[in-house]
Amino acid sequence: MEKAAPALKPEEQDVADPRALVAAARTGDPAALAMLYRRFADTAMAVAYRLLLSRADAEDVVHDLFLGLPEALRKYDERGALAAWLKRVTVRLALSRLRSPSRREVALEEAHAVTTVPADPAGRIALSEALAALPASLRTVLVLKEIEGFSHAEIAGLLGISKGASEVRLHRALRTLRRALSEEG
Amino acid sequence: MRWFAWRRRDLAEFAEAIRPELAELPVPEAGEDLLERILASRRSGARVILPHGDALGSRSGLRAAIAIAAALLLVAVFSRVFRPVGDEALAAGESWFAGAVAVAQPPGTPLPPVLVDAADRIRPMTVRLARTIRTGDGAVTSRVEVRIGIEPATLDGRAVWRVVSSQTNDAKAAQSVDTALVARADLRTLRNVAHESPYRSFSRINISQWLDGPRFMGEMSAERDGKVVAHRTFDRRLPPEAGPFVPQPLALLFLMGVSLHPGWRGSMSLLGWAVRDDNVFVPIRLRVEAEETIRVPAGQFACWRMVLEHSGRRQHYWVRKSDGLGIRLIDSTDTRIKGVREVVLIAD
Repeated sequence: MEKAAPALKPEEQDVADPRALVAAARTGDPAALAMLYRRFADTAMAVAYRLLLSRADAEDVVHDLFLGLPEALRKYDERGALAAWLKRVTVRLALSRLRSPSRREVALEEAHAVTTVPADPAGRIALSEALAALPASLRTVLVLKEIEGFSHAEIAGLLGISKGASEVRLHRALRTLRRALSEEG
Repeated sequence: MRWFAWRRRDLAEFAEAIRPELAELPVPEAGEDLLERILASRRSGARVILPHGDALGSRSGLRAAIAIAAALLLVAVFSRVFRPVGDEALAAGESWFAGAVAVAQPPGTPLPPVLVDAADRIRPMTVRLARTIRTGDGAVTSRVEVRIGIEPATLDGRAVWRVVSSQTNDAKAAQSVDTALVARADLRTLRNVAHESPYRSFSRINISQWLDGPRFMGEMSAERDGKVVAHRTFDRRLPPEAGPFVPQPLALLFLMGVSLHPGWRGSMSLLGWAVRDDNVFVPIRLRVEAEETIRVPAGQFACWRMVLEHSGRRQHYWVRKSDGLGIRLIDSTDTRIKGVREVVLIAD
């Protein structure tokens, strides 16, 4: 089910300044953590889900992200945007989970279990399936580059590969995806 | 969909066409129930160390070459990196009973394996302990507080306990979190994940372990400046006669699941990081020596006084009679430190 970013509750409006929220969250204040969650958890969930294609695994990533956030924020220097910082941490958590053999295997049913009410159901399910069928190494680069907007240099840093390898993987991912969709079409 | 019209064209154009379609694929929402789960985890004392979130620069050829050289150097010194170390504020792979070393060795005279027959005594709880090292004249040279939380969880549909041991050293900006998942029915270890930050010359080390029958598998990654610079996997066999195998976070809680009595004795093993061959597990022999009432910062308790033997060392260990929680440990036989190591319960 698609969902827009939830609006802040009235009592939260007066602490809309992210710096105030961060300062409060650093102390472990549950209310501040809850506000950060309501602001950023959907984005984190989306990033994690796109990389893991598993709701359960994505929820575990978001759980860990906010569980460790108060302590991690103590090292956050506020030089960059909080949203971008959280996104990078989420990606790292998801990639770590992707490498873990304990994570649940993704069932295709789950891969498009959330693809409800699309404008073009058949096409969207085909796209979901084609994406899920990509090898994880290719899908990861595709998601990070084409959906999440990371540069190849950033992807290289995240994955511990060279920039060239990231470019090659994206090329292969697109080629594979195009072939799959052509066959589907 | 638009991409059907583009599918035979150039890949770049295909990417351009498919990008919005990919972005529009629906994703699950982060609901209030997940928030409740997070807040409950924090209330229980569970913590994790998050990975680095700093922006990443470009990876130039020079930096890549330096990284390769560093990797080669790392291989050369790898065995030195994971050499067991002496006691530190946050020592590598710190073990409750064995200090900072867990040496795999064959068990001595066989004792019956510890039988978990009272697993239902385990309950959600949070305890705080202090680990100190005192010199002969009583001066404290090292003191670290550790929090251990235990809460119910599920793993692949199986009822488990999640046991989280965490400690921080603000002065050194150091943090250590060790999380174990054990079966609720028999306390069998299923998963264990340890993070230490920093770890020696690394900004962070991650150890992930999972057990499947006699197989003890896992991986290690060490990070520097947010990048993984060392990675190793392992797949070991645990000898059944050395079991049960207890993960570090559960060490002081494990006997809560065991019925002790005068004359009781048994053997078990503490799991190490298992990255090195000599750091897989340490067999421990335990026996009840006496009944004694002692006072620790958390209060006065009737205890089983036990003797623990391992690695040529002998420790005294007090287990609370009411629930089996380890509340005091004294070790004066560790020749690598100049003093006495003591663990006491501060609060529960």
